[in-house]
Amino acid sequence: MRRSILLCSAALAVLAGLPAAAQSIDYGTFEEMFHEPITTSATGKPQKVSEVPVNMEIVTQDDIRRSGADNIPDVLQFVSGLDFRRSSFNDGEVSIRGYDQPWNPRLLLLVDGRPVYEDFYGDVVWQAIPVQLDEIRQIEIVKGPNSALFGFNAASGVINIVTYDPLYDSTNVLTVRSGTQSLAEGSAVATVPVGKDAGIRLSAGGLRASEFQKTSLPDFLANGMNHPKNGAFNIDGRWLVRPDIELTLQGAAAQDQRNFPADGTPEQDRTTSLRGRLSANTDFGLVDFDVYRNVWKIDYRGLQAQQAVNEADDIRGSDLFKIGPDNSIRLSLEYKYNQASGQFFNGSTIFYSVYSGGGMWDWQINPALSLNNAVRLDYLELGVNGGILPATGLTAASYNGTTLNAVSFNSGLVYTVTPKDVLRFMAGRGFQLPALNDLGQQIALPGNAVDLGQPKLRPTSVLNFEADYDHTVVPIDATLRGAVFVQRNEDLYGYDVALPRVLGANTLSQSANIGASDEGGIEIALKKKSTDADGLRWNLGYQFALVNDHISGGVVSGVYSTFEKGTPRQVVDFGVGYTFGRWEFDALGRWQSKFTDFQIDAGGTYRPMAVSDYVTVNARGGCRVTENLTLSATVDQINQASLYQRAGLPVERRAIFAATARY
Amino acid sequence: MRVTVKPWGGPVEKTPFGKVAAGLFAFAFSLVSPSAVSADGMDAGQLQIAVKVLRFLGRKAQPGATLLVLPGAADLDQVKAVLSSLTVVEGGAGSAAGAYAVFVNSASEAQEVTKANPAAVTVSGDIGCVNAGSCVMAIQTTPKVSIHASGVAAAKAGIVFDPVFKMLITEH
Repeated sequence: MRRSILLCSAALAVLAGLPAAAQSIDYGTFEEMFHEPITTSATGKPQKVSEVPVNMEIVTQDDIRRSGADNIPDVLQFVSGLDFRRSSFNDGEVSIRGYDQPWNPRLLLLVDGRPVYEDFYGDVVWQAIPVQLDEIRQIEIVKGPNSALFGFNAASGVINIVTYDPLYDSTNVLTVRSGTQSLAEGSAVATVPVGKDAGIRLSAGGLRASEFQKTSLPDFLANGMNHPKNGAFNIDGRWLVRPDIELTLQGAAAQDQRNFPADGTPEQDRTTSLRGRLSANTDFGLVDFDVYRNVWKIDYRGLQAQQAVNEADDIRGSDLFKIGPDNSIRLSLEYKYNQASGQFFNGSTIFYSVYSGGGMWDWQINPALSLNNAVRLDYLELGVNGGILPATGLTAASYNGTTLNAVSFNSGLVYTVTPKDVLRFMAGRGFQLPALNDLGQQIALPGNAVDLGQPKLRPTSVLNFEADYDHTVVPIDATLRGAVFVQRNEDLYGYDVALPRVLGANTLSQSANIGASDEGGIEIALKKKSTDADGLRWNLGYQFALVNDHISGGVVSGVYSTFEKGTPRQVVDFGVGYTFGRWEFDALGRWQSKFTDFQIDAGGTYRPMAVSDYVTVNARGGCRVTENLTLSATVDQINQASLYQRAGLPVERRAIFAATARY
Repeated sequence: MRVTVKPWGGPVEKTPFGKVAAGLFAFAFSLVSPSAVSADGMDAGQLQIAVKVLRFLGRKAQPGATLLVLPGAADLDQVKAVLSSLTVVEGGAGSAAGAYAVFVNSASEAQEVTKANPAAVTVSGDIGCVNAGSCVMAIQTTPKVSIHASGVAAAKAGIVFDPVFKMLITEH
């Protein structure tokens, strides 16, 4: 905490001396002006979505509302190119372009640009993201690595959740939901203007439900499961200190209780975060300072009950400016300190510092052609405080002094061939940093054995090449997007609870680099362009992906599934909706081909599990009873009573009844 | 300014902007009418954007400032409906003195306006006017919205753009 205060003070001191003139992104006004969403998630520069040099999908508030979903992963499962697997009521994983796995480490999730990635396990805890669906303006999904902008873990892609801005948007919503699985859920969002130059947005929400049927699991797994529940609170204040300087202060807290049936482990997570951000327009560009602190407390109640605390402090600064009419430059610096301690580490503390610097150059070569290049260097220093178990065969020297460098890049060429046709060519390299427990876990087990992290573990690099083609199909008012990509993953690593699982002498499991994997794929999506309040909306998408693993060394056969088998080859997603007057009806569906997952058996051994191909369809009907009150009914998985989306519990049909008041 | 999230169909309605906001909203509805598109000058879509663009200039319009519409540059009634906070008048280029902004048809008109009032913000639906360095801004709506600005004309008028806005437009 003291570190965060010092970092924040330093940023304030620097900005106090800046000559400034006006800064803020009024997403709503710009979207109305340009008739399309605005984003900064592609390059750090504000851009129209149609002009970004990445493959980006935008999920709007209207999409969220009409999905009928009560959680973010359920919204994302129907987005083209995303993979989603639910293993219990309150646990699921989202990945981009395959390689999905428990504790998926390849996807970086941000809320208004602040990482909410949990560095201890190296994953996204979707149930503990302190955001209510009603306060989301848009969800920005970048497919493909984007580490040159966001750093580590933007490996397979990035999702940035953009919320309404209390300076510009008045959002007051109360939602209650009830349904099957004994669901009781509520959320509230309120905006409080403070004069004409400041505003505060408050939100809170939570749910409680019953777990899906557990009869498919061995008793020793099923008996320890918790009731799913979660809750979150967030406060977001923004103040135009001067017409030219904007200050943001944010605080959030969330907790969840969930089950991982594949591993037999109920867990509770608690997270708190604080953030301060100052942005200004100066004589030398748009200057931004951002300081945040994330704390995670993990209470793992599985086969070996363990607790851990993960604290991350980060300060970053950037300057965005134009040189002449055609060139934009963004320079950035970042420092992050990250540590974890607790029983996972035998009472020791493992930590690292990351020093980063990056640059982005956007060149509008001519009105039809633009080129964007970005590069970033991350330098990491690892260390440990405390004892090391002798059984690990490691010493403190194995950690202290361990460093690594990672150079990531993104390049994109956007060519507007005709007013209806746009071509994009992209190349990028991103990195998936091993989680803190992958690097430093040391759990003593009976028989002088250990669960073991490896401080010398190398990050996984993801090299991606892609070509996209967008075409406006005027007769049907639709946009067609085709994408072809190839991807090379090097220095993949296996770790404790995911796949492939690596066993070594004297260890139950250990982290290790295990080889490489290649992927190639195509995506085709057709989507109706205009989303008028009344009328028809629809979309249709198809994805094909082929993964080829090159894994060697340290893997015990028979207890793991590979990425090759673990990535479904084909996915079809579709949606249709219709609005007339007070009524609106929507259906969203997904067909996915088979893949192989893994699950722990009654003897405690991991076994491959075939997950059959399946179709799932969600349907929602809503009625605007009054100007401010909407009632809706949603049935998830209307076509099947239950199905396996991955190993774990079969996902059951859900019925959700919701009342939403906006004022 | 704050936008109220509508109960049906997303965030559109402006609340605290009083008359200007109400005018904008009403004007948006008027777009469904075929008569909203004028034969010459900026059509309704361009006009709606042009009005918003004025908010992203470093030098803001004072309440009651004059916006001059040259004949044919835009439908006068539509402009008045959108910009109730400004005094909207129609007249020739020679009457541009003292005007905050002027909607023009062409580069030659913009040049005449600049002679009468070098500080006027000249806005047109003709991108050629920006290419010629005569108009500060031009609005294009088909096949998609793009806003073009002339650095030369802006500098002559003493206009700087909001930095975020500047990243989203095409400068010439």
